Amino acid sequence: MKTILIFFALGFNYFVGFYYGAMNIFYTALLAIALGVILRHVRRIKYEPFKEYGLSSQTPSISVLIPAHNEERVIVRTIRSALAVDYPIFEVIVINDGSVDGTLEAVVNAFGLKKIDLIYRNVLRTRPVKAFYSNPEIPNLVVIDKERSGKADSLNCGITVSRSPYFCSVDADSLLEQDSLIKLITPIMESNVPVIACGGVVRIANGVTFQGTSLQEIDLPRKALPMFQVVEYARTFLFGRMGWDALNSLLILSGAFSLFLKSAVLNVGGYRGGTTSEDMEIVVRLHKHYLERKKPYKIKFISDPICWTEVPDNLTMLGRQRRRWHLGLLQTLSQHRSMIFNAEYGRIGLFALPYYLFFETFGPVIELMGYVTVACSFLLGLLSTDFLILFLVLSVFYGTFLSTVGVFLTELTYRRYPKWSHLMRMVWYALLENFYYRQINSFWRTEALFQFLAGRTGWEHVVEKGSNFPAEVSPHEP
Amino acid sequence: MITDFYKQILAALIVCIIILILAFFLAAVTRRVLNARKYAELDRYRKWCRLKITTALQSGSSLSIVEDLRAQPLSLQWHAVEEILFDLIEQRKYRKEVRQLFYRLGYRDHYEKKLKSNRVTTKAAAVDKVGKMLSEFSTGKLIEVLNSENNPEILTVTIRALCRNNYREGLKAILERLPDLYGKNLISQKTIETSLVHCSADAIPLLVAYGRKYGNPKITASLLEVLSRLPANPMALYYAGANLGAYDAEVRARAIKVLGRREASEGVLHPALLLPLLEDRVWFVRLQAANALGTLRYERAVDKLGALLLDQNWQVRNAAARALTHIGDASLDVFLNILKYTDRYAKGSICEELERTNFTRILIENLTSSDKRTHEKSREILRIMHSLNFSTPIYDYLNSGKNNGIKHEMASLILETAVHSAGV
Repeated sequence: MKTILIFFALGFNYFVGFYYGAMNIFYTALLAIALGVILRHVRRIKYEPFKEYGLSSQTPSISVLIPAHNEERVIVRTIRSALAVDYPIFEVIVINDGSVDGTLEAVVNAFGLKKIDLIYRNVLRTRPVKAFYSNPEIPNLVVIDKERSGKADSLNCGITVSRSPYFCSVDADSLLEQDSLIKLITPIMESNVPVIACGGVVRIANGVTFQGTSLQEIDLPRKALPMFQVVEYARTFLFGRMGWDALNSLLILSGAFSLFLKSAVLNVGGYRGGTTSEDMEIVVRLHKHYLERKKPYKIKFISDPICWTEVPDNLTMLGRQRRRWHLGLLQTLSQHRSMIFNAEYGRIGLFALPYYLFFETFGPVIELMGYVTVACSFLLGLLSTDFLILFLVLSVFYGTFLSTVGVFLTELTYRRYPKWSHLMRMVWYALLENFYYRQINSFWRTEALFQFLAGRTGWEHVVEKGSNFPAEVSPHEP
Repeated sequence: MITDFYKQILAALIVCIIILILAFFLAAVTRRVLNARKYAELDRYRKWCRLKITTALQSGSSLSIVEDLRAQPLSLQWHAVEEILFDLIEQRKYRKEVRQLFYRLGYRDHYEKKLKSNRVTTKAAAVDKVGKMLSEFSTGKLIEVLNSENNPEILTVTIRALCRNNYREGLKAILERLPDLYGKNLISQKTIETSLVHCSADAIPLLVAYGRKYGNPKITASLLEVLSRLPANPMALYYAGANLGAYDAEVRARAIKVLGRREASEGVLHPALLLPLLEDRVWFVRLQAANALGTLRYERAVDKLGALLLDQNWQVRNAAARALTHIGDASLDVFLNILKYTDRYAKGSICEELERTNFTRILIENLTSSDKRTHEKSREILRIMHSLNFSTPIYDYLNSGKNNGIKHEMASLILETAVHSAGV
């Protein structure tokens, strides 16, 4: 019996070694690509024609869609920030998703809105709309009051009402940079191949001070949990997504702020309800649609920080959020399993989706099992103390390395954290996250995997806690 | 032995990773230190340069400061002077002197040399700067880049630079290369159109001449788009008129855009030319035609626009309704007919546009009209709108309106609707 146990423990140790070796090689490759792309982007910014596109009549109009459910505290600020962006022609559509607090009243009072009668063409089949509100003096603002049905359905409702060829989904707790829309549209304007979706970097608003709708002072959050997320977001957005973008294999764009070609989304039937991560699901479905029809297309990501969003600052809410994200990933992979290892879908089918399946889905489970097996192997005398220490040190430093590069990439972008103490704190947290944050995240994600296997389809609501709201973005690793 | 070997490999990996962590950390620190020092000094230079240059420009002695401003290429003073000069060249009154300063201080030569660089970002940045210097003498160099390049990024910046300069030769070179750029898909249509819009009205004859020269629909569509953004000109209007019957729908739609502007209505072509396009087989052509005739307020289009209120495409229906509201009281009959006799969906579209365009305000004001027919038609439209639940403007007026006569009329039409509904 002991021999069999030893045999399995040894086998698993080798498996974990190869698994992490492969994963880290992949991360390093992504990192190298992202570094090159961002350095080039920094040089290109000098001659980018943002200003010209901002004045051009050729710049297509955009509908900014803001779904809101019980967002009384932040919704007016978010709408003001959306209305203040520099963009030639845009409209802001707020979808009140059956809020039971004073969300609707706050918006109606703040913007002097009146009920108007519009026809609702149920293009994407959504839950019923109760009323529309607008103010002739703010002609580019429309508020839709509808029955509670979730974010996907609310976005579909906004798409139905929108009158622009592009729409941009924005979370109710997110604040936009003034030039965010023009930066997002630039790859679309300049590309010869249709760009059907484009996303940008989402940064953490905890600790940041806003004066009205504009950013006043960039600071780091005081609490540890949001600090870990600052480092995590830097890593995820600046080398994860940039790397995937360079490989033209992006599978996730942040629900907090991403731009879509409306006709493309209508072609695939809009957002799909019943998934907890509609932002990833829609992107995968867009890939599927275009690849099956062999139509040229691009899904882009830009490295400029364009949107600020609040993140949970307590373990309960963060845990709910992470379980929900992981459940969303599992649901998306499950719904589109026919694409995995399917050559018809090119690099998405043969490369991106298998990566998400093997490294993102099973990574946390293997990591937790790895901790147990390594401990058992050590107790059984299969692993020398030297080996154990060396493995642990390697694992910690590699994690620190990835996050330090994320911090370095943040330094290259504009709107960096200005103080010396910011840099030091970020590097310190890059090291610290390996001792607590990483493990607890793996635990939540493993929980989500078991919930998924047990047939859970619903999602845990992340409710207001203190001054922070959760971000509807999914920084799946890396 | 083997175990030791593995341990050594692991230890070596750890050392490498620690070195990399330190390297990235030090890179971040060094970057901060250098940038802090650089920008502090740059700010100082900027302040000094701005004062010196603006004083000299205001006193008309700009060339006297050349020696004071001269600096080593790419030094901080060089960058500061460059920034200030780029800022000042935007002001038309200083343009000539600033161009001279750019030349005398060696900026033009410096960046023209960089145009030969093999590095994409260096070359594109140099093209951008040469373009911003607005020098006629650099146009030839930029044309050389345009004709020899195939890199989309450099081409985009070059075309923008040439258009910004607005010299005839530059525009001619772009138009000459256009078939090749579009044929090889080297640049997006939107980029070309956004850049060409910088041309002045003087460019219109050249744009039209090249449009006639090429039969390529993509080029024609782009040039028409640009013409629709430039001031109305008889040559452009005739060119657009000639393209109203083009085979390509995009060309037809953009030709309508050229003709469908208010300032074009006093031009040489009659809006009646657009009427057949309201029956075009392609929806966005019909939509453009409806928009144009609405903008031109062409009353003779009312019946055909009325027919479009039942179009299969909702965007066309909305555009037609919007166009009719622009035309005003002459549309009342059409609205009334459609609201009386057609399906609920089309009625809804009309009511929606009547509210969105604030035409309901005109209808409400018409309730005090001395013209009995206008009064009755407006009242009937409001009554039908109310029966279709488009009642918000009526209730708003009842709540906050000032004219008691109108309020009385509204109250009675609400009552009528209620009686009618009860009767049904």
